[in-house]
Amino acid sequence: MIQIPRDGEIALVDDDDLDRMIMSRVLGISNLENTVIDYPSAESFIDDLATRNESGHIGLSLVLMDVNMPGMSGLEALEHIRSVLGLIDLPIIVMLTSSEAGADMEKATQLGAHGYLAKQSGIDKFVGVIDEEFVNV
Amino acid sequence: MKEPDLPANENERMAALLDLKILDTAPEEVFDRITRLAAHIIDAPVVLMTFLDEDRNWFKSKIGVDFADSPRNISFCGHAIHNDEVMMVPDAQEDERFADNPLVAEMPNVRFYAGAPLILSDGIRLGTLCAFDMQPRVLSDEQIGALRDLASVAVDELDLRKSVEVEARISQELREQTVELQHSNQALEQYVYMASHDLRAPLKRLINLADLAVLDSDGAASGLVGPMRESAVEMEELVSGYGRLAGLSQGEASEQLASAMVKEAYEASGQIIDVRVTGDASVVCDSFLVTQALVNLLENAHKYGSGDSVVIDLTDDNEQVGIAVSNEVEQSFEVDNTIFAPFKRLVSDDRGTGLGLAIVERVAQLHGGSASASCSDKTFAVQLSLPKRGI
Repeated sequence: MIQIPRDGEIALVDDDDLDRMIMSRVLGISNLENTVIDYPSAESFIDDLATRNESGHIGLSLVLMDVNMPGMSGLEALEHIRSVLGLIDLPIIVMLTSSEAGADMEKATQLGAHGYLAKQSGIDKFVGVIDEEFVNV
Repeated sequence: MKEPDLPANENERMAALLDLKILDTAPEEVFDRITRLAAHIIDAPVVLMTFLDEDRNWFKSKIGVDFADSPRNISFCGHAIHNDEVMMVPDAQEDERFADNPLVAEMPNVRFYAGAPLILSDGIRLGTLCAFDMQPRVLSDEQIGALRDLASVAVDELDLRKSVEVEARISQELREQTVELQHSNQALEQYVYMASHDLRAPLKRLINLADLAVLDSDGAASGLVGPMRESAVEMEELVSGYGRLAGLSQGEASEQLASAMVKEAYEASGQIIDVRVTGDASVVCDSFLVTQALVNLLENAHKYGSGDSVVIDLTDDNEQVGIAVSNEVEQSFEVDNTIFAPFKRLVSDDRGTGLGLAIVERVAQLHGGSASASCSDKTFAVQLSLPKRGI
């Protein structure tokens, strides 16, 4: 279980509008009480994150980031956040379309992801996975 | 002088000669023995076993000369291969084909020639077994017969070599084609695997959106959206099953206890059916794959069997490990090995993917083993046979 402070936002980074909408709804139904803020690309998220970083207050409790995105991929974004922005402790979970992408998982862990999440089919299943993985503190 | 004509099938003849891979090879006792015998029987100073190459007459075996070949266009043998029988030239000076041939008019001043064509069993004329003398003479019928017989002995040896060479070439071609087939098969499987992977994302989306539609309508939409969702779920299972089948490849193999994999499969299947295990075995395998095969068999027993349990017999004869999964069925039915073909379904109007047993067989094959099925006395059984030490 990963502990998610109630007082921060959850950033959702995914280029697919429908997946973003579905994930927002899943988070809404789950036990997590955080506000969800979503980004349609890794670039837009990195920009916002840099601004937040400069202001001295990141204000994010969790980042859920799709691996497969046009332009900057989830893994490239992860690397950028860890090494360029130097945000080592920000909890980042990468999202995979299917659970069998073993190479992606391994790479994500090497690059400092806190874990990975396979996109589920079925809202109940999806919410169940979220509530198993995360708890508000 | 008359230059020898080219045989009508010269291209085919040359191809057969090259297939034989005999040109420019070292002398061999099997042929030297023949020319020695011929020289002795005919009592001639020069005896040759020749092969007519594109523009030379090359000597595989030679007695009485110290060069390796001579031009084809002045050769006697070029004429001799057109005959079915021994061609004899008693006096070349008196023969208009050869009188002004440099071999006759100049040194070594050939006068006599006798050549038996070397004709393979398929009719290809490669060269001759021939004798030269610097005196005009004739051969007795016995000598002509002996020359013909000795040529036949050489032809037997050449026929044998040709069939060996042809066989080697065919099996080489077969090997190459097999490799090519394997590659295109792999490419096809890779394609199916990726297509399956790509199709799953929109299907997941569809299922999730159906759930949200039901939620947002407070259940009012469930009448129509429910079946729609079921169809999407069915499709996702089908697509992912096909992707699994195409993507199956053996990973890490290690020694596993069969009973432990059964237990794992039982857990992974959600304990859908009771399992009774008899015997045990250890086998070198990829436990993930074998467990997956067992899960499929348990699911089948649950879906299609009539009893509330399956029996799994584990056997181990130190060479092969047997894993036999059997369950009761309502009625015995005919079973043959097409049961393992993808999309073969035992029950019509069935919501299965038709891939469960295909995956079982594939798992066995990836381990160098096999799968078989049988049905009798209202018991259906699938037997996996795996080499104990893996491949």
